Amino acid sequence: MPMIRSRALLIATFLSTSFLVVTPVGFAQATADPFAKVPIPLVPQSSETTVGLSDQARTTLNEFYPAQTRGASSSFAPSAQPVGATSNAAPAEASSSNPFVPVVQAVQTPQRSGPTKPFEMDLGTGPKDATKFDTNIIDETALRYYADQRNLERVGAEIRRLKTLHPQWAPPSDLFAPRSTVDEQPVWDLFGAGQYLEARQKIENLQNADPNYRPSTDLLAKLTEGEARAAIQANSDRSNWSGTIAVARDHSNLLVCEHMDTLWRVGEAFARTDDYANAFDLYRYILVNCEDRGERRATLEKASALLPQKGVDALLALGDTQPDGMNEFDGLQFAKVRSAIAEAISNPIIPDLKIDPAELNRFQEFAKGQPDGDDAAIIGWYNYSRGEYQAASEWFEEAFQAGADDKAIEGYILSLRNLDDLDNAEMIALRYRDRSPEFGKIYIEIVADRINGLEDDETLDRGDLDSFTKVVDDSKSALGAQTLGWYFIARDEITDAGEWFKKSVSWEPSEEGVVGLAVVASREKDNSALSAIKTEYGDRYAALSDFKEYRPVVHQAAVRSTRSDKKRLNVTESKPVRVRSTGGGADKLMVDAKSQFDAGNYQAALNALDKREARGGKTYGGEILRGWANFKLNRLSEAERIFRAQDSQRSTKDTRFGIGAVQNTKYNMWPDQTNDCKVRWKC
Amino acid sequence: MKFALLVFTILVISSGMASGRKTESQWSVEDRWIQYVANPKPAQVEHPSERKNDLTIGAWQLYRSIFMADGGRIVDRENGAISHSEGQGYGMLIAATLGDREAFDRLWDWTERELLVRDDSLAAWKWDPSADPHVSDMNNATDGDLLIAWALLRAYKKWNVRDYLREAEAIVDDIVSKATIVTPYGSVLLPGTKGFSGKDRPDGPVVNLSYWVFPAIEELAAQMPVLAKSNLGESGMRLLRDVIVSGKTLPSEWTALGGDDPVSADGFEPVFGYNALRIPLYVAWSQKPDPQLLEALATAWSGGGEAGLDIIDVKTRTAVEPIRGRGYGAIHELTLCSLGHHTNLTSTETFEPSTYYSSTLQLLTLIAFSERYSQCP
Repeated sequence: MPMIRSRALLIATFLSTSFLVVTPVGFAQATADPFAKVPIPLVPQSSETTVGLSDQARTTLNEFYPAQTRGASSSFAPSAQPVGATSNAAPAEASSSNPFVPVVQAVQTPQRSGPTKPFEMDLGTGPKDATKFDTNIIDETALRYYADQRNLERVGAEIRRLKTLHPQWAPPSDLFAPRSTVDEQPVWDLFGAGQYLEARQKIENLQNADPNYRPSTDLLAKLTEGEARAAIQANSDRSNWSGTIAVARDHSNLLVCEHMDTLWRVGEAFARTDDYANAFDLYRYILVNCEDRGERRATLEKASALLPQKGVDALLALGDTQPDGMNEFDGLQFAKVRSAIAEAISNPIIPDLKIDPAELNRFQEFAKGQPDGDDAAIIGWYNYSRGEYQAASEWFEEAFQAGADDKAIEGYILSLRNLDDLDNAEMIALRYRDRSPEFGKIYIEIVADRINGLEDDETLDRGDLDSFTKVVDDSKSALGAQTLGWYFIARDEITDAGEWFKKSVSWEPSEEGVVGLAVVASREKDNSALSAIKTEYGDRYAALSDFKEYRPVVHQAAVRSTRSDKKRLNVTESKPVRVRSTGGGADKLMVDAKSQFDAGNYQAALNALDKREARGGKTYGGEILRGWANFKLNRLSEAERIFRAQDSQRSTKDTRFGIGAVQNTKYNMWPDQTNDCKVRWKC
Repeated sequence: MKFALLVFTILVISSGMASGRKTESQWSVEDRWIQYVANPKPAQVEHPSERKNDLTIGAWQLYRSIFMADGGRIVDRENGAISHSEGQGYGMLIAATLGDREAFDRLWDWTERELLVRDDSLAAWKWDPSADPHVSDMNNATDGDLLIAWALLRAYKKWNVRDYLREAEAIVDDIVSKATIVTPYGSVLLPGTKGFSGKDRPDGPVVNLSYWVFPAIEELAAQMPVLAKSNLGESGMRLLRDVIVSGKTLPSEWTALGGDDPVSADGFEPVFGYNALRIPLYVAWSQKPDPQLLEALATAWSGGGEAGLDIIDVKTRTAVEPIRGRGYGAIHELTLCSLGHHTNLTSTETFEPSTYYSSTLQLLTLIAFSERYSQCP
């Protein structure tokens, strides 16, 4: 016994770690959009090794979920599947159903007609009060009805029936008692409104007013039931699993198909307290007795999130064959791996403990043939979250071909971008920009990056420029506009530049836009305009103080842009930091990252960069800052890896300097007097 | 043992409810009833006897809500709300037979506390709520004692409470030692321990033939040798045959045995009345019903007229006054049906509480139908 217990704990540990962030599993919608469960990853690559299920865990699972064979000796082994049901999990079991006669199979539905007994939980080896007799579970409604009708034959038959079911029960002594004239309707109304406390109070008031009044059994039973359901809900909402189970145990009559939400909550409570045996039995009870298709599917989804795979497989065998010959649970055999993947995506820090590689392979095989592409998209995001952009792009393409929604296209574009296939990323973002404002944003970001990467003597292709300006105008992109502003500044088209900066600032003021306006004013020697800008924005953007009339001082960018070194086009102005234009939110994150970096909070800076990357992917500026943050945290190898990665894409002074700095620090080769602090993070 | 086998044989022949498993061969009638109530057949086809069983169970619930006071006392509402050992005995018998443990316990508790106040195991016969003390006459009524003992025996068999058996045995011991007397007819049942013997009355001993609760005597005797030895049942049957078959009249309420022949006792009206009308019930309910006796009873007490049943003057054999009540009609129908006469059992189709006495007899007759004549429509 202690042995089994410790193994149970092992499973518990392994389960509980994997459900850290999953939203209350029990209560998700049955037909949720798969993407809704797939948050965009926080960190693309986990350095942790993927860890599979340990052998011991597997052994334990086998013990707790004995093989799905008929007549298994375990007390909670699943019983034989219903007639006509086929099993995805155990194809061998399906031999009794002939795939060539689906119509015949469809007729053979499992017997789920008529009232069924409530789910009975196994109270285990704990002390059982054999004499305890819960009158709660006996419904005397019919008996009282017949008594009221003076139908003595029926009264006798009902007494006989109840006594057979509950040998210790005795007929109530007030069966034929004169009925009170008190109107119970107000109490029923309160009950109907879920105001159980008030209903109790009302009963007390009625009793005070008429000592002969006794609330009807029906009312009391319903009220008690309602209170118990509310208690189960409240307990499970607070994750008080033992409390949930305790209430359910006292009111086992609630554990019936009519109260599916209660069943689900109790099932989750069992699973969360390592009582997989009862959890399994409860889910099995639902699948054997309850008929609602949606609820059955949802039950399997919930079980998948909470039970080890063995249990899920056994439950899958309880699926009905539908008139079209399909099993009602087709596709759900991968619910568990789906939820594990969803979890891995949202928690990249946690290694892929829960994802069995073999199961993942099966899932991938399955996903390839699926008509809706949703599963392919899930695998796409999974790969994306692991930094496997090539695989991600392929899966997104698969999903996209199969007709998955816009999110798959977005994933595809982001993957291409991370693979530096910017041409295709830009092209697809532009093509589909009408389908989602997000695509317009990404398109602007990509093109803005391209513009920022242009040499001064390079120009954008006319067609590209037209598309870009149109999208920027249509989407009122402040960042696109200021990017265009700087583009025209670099090409001495000051008037155009001024217009774009004006637009940018009118859509959304930013330092880049405002400084751009100042540069234009400065170039045009428009003193009054410059002072107006300084008056309006001076408090907000300190960079403006560098603009002296006519001869602003040289201002070194806070974060060097890709071209700041080459672009000393005119010392009378400086081009302020132009972070990648990754949309308002992402850009805000870059500003955050910079200020955290400046304040010496390097880890916080990294966190902000992670978030930013999650939204918009990697950027040159982001990666350089990431390199320096790692450098500051003395993670020299990581810093070097980042600088080298950027350097291999496009070698710049920054990347080269980063690599050199790491090398120097590593080998203690800094010359004593070389720090002239031209660039902030080199100081 | 021989007796038990006989019981079983009769039962299998006469009762459609026996399931006939071999191990059940020793079961007595009430065991079978108990078994039947506890394990009713699935109600697919509504067999008439099943409907009657259900009616009996339901009727008892209604009955107890009306006639059983909270403390466990059966109230004879028409007689100043008194209680008596007979009523307690009937109530306990029905509760035990139908498996109503809660009612049985309450009835027995009250009986033990309020009526078993003599220095033996017999019950004081009458309890008056308006008298102080409630029990003023310490005499017993022997039929009440028989009924209580019978009920205790059935309760013992049903719930296996050994105390019930001991109490029943003590009562039977005292009945045999204090309330029987040997006569030329054999050992006969005195109506009470006091006032009915040859010493007490010139025409004594005086008996009440409706106090021979034959099924009670039979079941108790099967369990208790002291009662079997007294051959009480035989003496009762012999007396009845003498009066009814040989004397070609009905027995009167009170019968004097002091003379050569059993005659109506002095000081009592010579009528077959509310006491004596239970005789056909007990004879028909007996495990050895005497068809000749029943036929004679049915013929003599047939009502005939539109008024239905009557109280009969046993000397003139004429009707004195009509008897109305489902309970009495039920007994008459039971008698007819026991003889195989086709008759509409209107008095047991439904149960409607009326007087204490009629209602009680109707319930008892329903049980007698179930136990002995389930083939009746």
